[in-house]
Amino acid sequence: MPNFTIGMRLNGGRNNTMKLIGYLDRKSWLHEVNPLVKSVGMIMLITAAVISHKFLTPIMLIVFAFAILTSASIPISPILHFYKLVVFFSIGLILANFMFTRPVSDEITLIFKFGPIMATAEGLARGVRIVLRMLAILSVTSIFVLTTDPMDFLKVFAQLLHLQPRVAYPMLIGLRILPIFESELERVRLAQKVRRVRYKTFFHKLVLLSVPLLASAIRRAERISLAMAAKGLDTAKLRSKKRTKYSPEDRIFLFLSISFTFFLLVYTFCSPCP
Amino acid sequence: MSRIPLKFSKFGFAYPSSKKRVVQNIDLEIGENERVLLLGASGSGKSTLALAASGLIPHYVNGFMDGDVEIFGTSTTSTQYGEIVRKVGIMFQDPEISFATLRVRHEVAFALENFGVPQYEIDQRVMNALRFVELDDKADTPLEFLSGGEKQRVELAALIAQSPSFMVMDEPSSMLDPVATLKLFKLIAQLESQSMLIIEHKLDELINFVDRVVILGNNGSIIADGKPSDVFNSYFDDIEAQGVWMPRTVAIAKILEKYGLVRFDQLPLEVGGLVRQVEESQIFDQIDLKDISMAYQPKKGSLSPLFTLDEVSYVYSNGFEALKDVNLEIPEGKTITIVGKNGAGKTTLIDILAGLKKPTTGQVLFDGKIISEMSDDELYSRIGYVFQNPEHQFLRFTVWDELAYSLKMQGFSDEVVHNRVSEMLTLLRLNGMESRNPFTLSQGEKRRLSLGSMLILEQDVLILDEPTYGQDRHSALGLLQLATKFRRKSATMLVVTHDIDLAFEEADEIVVMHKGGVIWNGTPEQLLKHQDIMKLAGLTVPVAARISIELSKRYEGFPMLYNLKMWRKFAHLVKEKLAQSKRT
Repeated sequence: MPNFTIGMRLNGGRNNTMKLIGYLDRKSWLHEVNPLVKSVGMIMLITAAVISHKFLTPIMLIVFAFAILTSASIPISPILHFYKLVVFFSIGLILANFMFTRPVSDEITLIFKFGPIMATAEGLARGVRIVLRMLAILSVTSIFVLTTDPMDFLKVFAQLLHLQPRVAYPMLIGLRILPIFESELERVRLAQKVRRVRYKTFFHKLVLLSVPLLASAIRRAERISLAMAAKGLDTAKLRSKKRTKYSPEDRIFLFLSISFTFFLLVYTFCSPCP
Repeated sequence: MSRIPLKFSKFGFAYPSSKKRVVQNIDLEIGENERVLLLGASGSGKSTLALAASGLIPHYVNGFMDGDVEIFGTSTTSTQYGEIVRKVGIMFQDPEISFATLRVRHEVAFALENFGVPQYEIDQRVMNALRFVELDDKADTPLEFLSGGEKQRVELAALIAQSPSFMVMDEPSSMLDPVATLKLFKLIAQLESQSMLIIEHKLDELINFVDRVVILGNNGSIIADGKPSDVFNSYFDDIEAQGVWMPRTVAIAKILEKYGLVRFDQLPLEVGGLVRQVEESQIFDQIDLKDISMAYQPKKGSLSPLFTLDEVSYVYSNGFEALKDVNLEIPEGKTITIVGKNGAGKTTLIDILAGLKKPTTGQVLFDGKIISEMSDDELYSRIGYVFQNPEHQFLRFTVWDELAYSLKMQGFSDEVVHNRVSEMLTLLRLNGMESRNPFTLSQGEKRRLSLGSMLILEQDVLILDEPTYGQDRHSALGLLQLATKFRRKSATMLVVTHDIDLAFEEADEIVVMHKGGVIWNGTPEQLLKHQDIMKLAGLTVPVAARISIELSKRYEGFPMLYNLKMWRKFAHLVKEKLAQSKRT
């Protein structure tokens, strides 16, 4: 499941590139939306999905998510890929709900009964609803995940919380260094294999692997902080690309997500609606 | 504001971890628009001077500082760093570590944004800088997609965009292949009216770009300072004694002088200069060079391959194909260097040869056995592997235990262990450091220790991954020579490097890699005849060979001498021949 792996590089920054937590690096109007605006919209939509018990709500949300992504020419194939991961889990979930749910009300439609197993239509419906809701939340989250540069997201948050650049940037860099760390761990492991190390206990292994890693991590951190300082980081106020006011893209996104959430809520509490 | 970009007065510095001064008594002044090259052996304190010249010492590095450093007339200690950083820019070795953002354009703009430059001006300066380094078409490319050479050019662009009045460069080419290095140096040379302090050890490529050379001795003080040709002519012996890498032209000229063949009025810093002076001496007009060339017929190779790779491919879990259908035989008892650009698959290849990675398809035979079926004990009692970063291999808390570790694993008696370890300590020049913690050694000592912990088992195969990592060429060559000298006589040695002079210095055979494939293998001499392959793999012709090629145009039958060892042998043969003809 390559799309879901955290990491940019393996093997010491070779050309084998992986996607950063599923982020699709390209240009679209969704990429231009402020990550903060995007996360607010996302939270609203997810809240609607959680509140609503109607069958059609998650389906509408999925369609909405796909429509928005398509409008920005973002392929929906990565989402379908995420779906695949959910499918196996879902089947179990639906079956469990189908067969083991004790209905709350007395009105039940019994399909069959076998010993303790009582399969009801209500149970089935409930199972399907839960799975659909999961898929809906996944789709909505994808709008954010696929189109938000994680570095950008962290920057905006740092700005929101008024973090000093001295504090905020190491956080950003940490994100970049993580994959390098991972590949270095692999080198240490191989180096110890050549020396025929036999780890006696888990703790022993932890110590032997982490000592060299720690030594180079400290040195790397020092060098990075010097490089940052040499680029005038400390003289700076943290800024992210010109995003001080709401851009047209921000407004469109906010409008779409507010109005759709509103629509869903109205629909949810409208008793005659299906 | 004074117009003198940089002035050290009685500068000295010690890091908090040890009281010893890394550099001391430094008096150095860099004039306006002057390009100064700083040389010195590994550990002589060059990087410390770079940090002080950029004001990072004393503002960001703790330690004890003596004397004073002035940048444009104001002392760095009494100036806020925010002011200094607008006048001085510094470029480091490893772009991977310097990057603060994810995309080319943002990276170049980073410092300007920090300085609060207006956006329209940032855009303009960024594009101009990118155009200068010829990366304007990649402005929106994520940094991770760039090659090593391109990454370093982005850093250069970032420096140019800052337009500092004074630049410091700390070994900017140390991670680059030869062609990328040349390109970077060419760009640096084209910079207009820039005062700079540049630390490098790839002298031959750079020596014509600089106005002045300063040499830092091992005790951390300046031992020579002046015009490049003056410095090497007047202080040759001192410089050589300090373990500084010489321009190859100077080294070869000295060999010719030592054997009494040519007297140089002026030690040459360029191939052309050397060739001219040799021609003027008319030394080779007097003898028939064909007989001497006979001495350079390549040795017959051994018959049985030690490693056989059959259609080997390796694909990483993320789908990156690091090796593609590699077929290769590695003969026993030779030194083989593996060259190619960053990411060409060199390290993956040696990992597979060492049985550390299992080929995705294809198979590897080691001494007739399928390598993936051999146990770790069987394999690593016969194969030694010196990793790039020596720290990765350290397991024990003293130097002595570190060396004794593998011997004890192998079940040798205490007496044998004791004898071998003491012997190895002497070979590695680590006497008196037995009880030190390996992590506290200097970079060069660490490298020697990690080599020693592999040499000590006297394995059949010794693999070295990038000996230039973390140290200069001179120390890297020293490490290689140490390995060549003290490995078991019949041992096979595999060396991965992107340093072409180093590759030719010790190799019997060279394997050239490009984009995951082995595109060529054979003797160094044959490789020099394949310019197309060298170009593809980012290789340049070593200076020693360039001199031979020039001389062979003039003298028929002049042998191809591609390293200093061969030049020494050649000078010796010519001298004997001259003596012979005098007698008859």
